[in-house]
Amino acid sequence: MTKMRIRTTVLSAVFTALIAASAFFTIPVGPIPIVLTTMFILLSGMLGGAKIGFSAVATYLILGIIGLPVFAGGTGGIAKLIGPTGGFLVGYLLAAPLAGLIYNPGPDSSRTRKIILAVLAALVGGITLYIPGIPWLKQSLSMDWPAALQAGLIPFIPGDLIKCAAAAVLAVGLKDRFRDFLTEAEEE
Amino acid sequence: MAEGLIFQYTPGESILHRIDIRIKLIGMIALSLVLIKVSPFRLCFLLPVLLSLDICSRNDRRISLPPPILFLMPLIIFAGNFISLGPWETGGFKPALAAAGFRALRFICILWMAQLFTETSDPMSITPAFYRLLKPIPLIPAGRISTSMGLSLTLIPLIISEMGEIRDAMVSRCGWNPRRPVRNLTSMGIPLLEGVLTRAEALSDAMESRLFTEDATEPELLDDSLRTSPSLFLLLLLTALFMGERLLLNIDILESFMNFY
Amino acid sequence: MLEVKNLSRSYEKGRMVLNNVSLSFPEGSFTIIAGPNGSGKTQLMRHLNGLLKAREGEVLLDGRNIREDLQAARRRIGLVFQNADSQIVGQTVASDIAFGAENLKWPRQKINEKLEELLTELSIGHLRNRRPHTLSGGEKRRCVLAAVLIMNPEIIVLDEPFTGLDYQGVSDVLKDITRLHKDGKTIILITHDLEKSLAHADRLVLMKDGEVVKEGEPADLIEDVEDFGIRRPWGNERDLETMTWLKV
Ligand SMILES: Nc1ncnc2c1ncn2[C@@H]1O[C@H](COP(=O)(O)OP(=O)(O)O)[C@@H](O)[C@H]1O
Ligand SMILES: [Mg+2]
Repeated sequence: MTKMRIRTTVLSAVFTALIAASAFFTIPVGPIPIVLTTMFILLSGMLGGAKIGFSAVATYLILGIIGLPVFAGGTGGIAKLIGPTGGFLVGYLLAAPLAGLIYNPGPDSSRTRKIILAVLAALVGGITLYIPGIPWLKQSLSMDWPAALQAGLIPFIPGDLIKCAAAAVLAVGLKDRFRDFLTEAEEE
Repeated sequence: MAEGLIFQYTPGESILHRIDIRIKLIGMIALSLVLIKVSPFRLCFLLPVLLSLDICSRNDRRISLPPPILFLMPLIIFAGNFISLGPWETGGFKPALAAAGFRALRFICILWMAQLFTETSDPMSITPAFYRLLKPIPLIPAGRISTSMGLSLTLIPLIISEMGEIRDAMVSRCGWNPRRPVRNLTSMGIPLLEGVLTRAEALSDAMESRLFTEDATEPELLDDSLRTSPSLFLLLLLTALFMGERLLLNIDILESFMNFY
Repeated sequence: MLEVKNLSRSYEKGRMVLNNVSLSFPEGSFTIIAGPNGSGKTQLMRHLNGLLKAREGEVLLDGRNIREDLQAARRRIGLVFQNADSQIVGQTVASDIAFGAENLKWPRQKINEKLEELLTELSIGHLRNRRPHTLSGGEKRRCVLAAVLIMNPEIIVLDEPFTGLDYQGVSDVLKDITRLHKDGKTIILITHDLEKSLAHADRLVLMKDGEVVKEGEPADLIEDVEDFGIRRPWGNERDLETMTWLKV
């Protein structure tokens, strides 16, 4: 068992735990409390890389599917995945690796480059969450487009912008530490 | 507090406790699939089943009230659905009420199942059971997935309490400024992620020192857990449900699968 | 016999985290490594079983470089890390202890036998189905010790095992350590808290800024420790034998 393999497994499990734990927490960020799940989804890809991001989210979904109450609002079960909001869960699975692919600065990248990439990654990742989510919602509740957008997108925009911004800031600040953790394993 | 939320496992000797976790898992997934399409028939069929399972699972055979969230969430769902479906769309007040009601009831069923499962399944044996379930499927890295699941399950309560501590520390240092939401998040995220990384370092050191490998001795499953009769029961239940639907309501089984909602 | 030869390590240029460290730990010895925070004790320990690869110098087990057979070295040298919480992998005490043995691919029956033996030996049988993170400090410490012992190591390295423990906890852990020593294990105890344990050691190593600054019999060194940033146990005329928190 290589050091690298152990470290990627542990890091992915740590992100899964962060994502799952965040479902239990509402944070009084601005005027309304929000749930941080999407922020940690984006961070798992941006800090851990595309592969770790994907496996962290996949493990999270499995925990939910087998019924552990880790989805938003303390729910779980496969029906949640196939239900009206299931598309968003599928979106998680795409957003984390995508954000990880975009934000992948080398150790010597300039700070500006890092910031630009991080903002881009957070935004693209944040939008990706909705790409399977909205049509799925529309289809399963047989709504029309305006109604689906009204129910599944518009109320979440302010909160998501805040979370994306925070994810970008955190990813810029902490990327080196996380990269060291993984590359240290490579050299041994 | 959070620990109680996720792992409400209460050790016991009831039938539900003794059923092989794999069968409970399959059963829960099958019933969730059945509930994708809600109909009065299915609800009438499943609610009594759940009720009797619930009664069986109680050690003292007394029906205790489920946690308040079980009531709150369906209400929200009911209201939300009712408003969004709207009488104008479904063509009347009553159908909208019914549709919203079904969805709320389905939600109760799912929560109830999750509750029964977590209450009667030792979290320690969930991952080994899952591993056994996945192992025969080709191309799936069963070892990696179940390791990852097991580690996450160990970490979740720790991280929940860490999040709580960081939040409390920030509140007591007057760290929340409602007008600077991003800063609130980042100043909470930094200690959390730094702490999590340190934990990851220590954990991987410990795992490496203890010679972690994915093809370790297979996890142990309880030998005396019930397998045959619960599987038969599950099969019978599903057959009865589909047959009943076909005979009473003339719904084709295949068609009912195709029909999303 | 475990030997460290001319081990050096630095992360940034100019600051040595470990500087030409040479030490040997004969079979059955009880060594205390003391030094102020940041003196490189934990870094040294992480080299002992190859978690960190020696860039300069080497670590030898019975005369052979541990990198020749890392697996064997890791089985024979058990490390108990400083933070008990983050080395727990299992969801119950029993499953955490069994982890190492499972990785050695022992048959289940052998694992269970050894597990029972350890649970009785460390008197933690009543904790077997508890979630490790809900244990008290001392119990947690003994649980991680058991998790290392299941692989039957010959050398046991403990990094600051008394941190955060109350009197009872320290005394319980110390009792286990001294018993293991009596059973013939080589003990390497990292601590800056000489008062709690020095009485049991047969050798004291003082580290500062990545270097071994003094090494020898505890009785010869005890007068000098304060020069190297370690608190001398209170009382000038104090006997070495009294430097223990073990309840008799
Ligand atoms: N990955 C690293 N990069 C840079 N410096 C490090 C790293 N790990 C440890 N150090 C430094 O090594 C020194 C020794 O640390 P450590 O062995 O933990 O000390 P001790 O255990 O004696 O308190 C510390 O000053 C620490 O800053
Ligand atoms: Mg240290």
